[in-house]
Amino acid sequence: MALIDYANPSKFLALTDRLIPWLTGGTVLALALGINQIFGAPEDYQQGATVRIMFIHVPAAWLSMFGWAVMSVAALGTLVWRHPLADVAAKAAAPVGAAFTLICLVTGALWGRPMWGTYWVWDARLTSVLILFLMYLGVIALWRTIEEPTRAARAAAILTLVGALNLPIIKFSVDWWNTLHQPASVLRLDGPSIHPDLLVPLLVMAAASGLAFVTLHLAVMRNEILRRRIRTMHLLQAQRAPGS
Amino acid sequence: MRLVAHGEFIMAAYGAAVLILAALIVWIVYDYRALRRTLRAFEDEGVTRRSEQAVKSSP
Repeated sequence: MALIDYANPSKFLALTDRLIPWLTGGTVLALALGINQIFGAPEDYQQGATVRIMFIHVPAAWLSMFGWAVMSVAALGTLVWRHPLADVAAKAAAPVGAAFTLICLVTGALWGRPMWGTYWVWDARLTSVLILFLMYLGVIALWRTIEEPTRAARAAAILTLVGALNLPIIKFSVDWWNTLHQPASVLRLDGPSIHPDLLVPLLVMAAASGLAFVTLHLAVMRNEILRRRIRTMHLLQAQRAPGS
Repeated sequence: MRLVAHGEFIMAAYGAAVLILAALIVWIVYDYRALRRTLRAFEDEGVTRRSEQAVKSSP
């Protein structure tokens, strides 16, 4: 079977039914490995044990932007090719992306208090991530406001593509403006500046979080396809009702 | 005596992450079960989509 065949919602549904148990198992294994690595990781010479917050904060931050990037690619699929699975993918990525953004904001605040002396500052990095979270909530609200899925998809796609302008602002905010937040220390042109003893657990946790994101995204996509089937059945039932 | 400096912040961060992900998973599973239940109710009433009717009527 060619990859393009999975663009059919029924075949995609069968694929998700097969994939989700395996992905769930892979996520649990990767998380167990990551947690084991975290316990073995040394304390940072400046931050002490609070560096352990990095192992959940940084992957959540990456996935918060990854979620919006997935929605942006899917938005192009909706607007250019009008593919029904594209808007299913976009709609399903929103709650998952919002959850990881919330984890990023909460863990960041809890890391900031002992290190910076404050839970929150209105600097460019923190504010742009807060805006990303609010945009996720805005897209979720938009999907729920417009009842007809294809109309909702187009409106959400436009909002998503406009919101994608925030992604480079988040990434480069620490370079463009003076902020309390530290600059990039992993995704750098001259290589990571973190010691391998901390970098390896971080990458393992990033892989585990990435697997969790994919698993949850597929599960929400499966729910959305079922929701659309139910909507179609409601319409068919109304058409077949006597007097209609 | 605290075992780890700022241990309460580390615990709160991990606890919050677990809570947020658990809430998401519970919502997804609950939603999936409710949707499957509704689909089964439609099928029991004999309501099927056109594509399913075509599959059933094909030789």
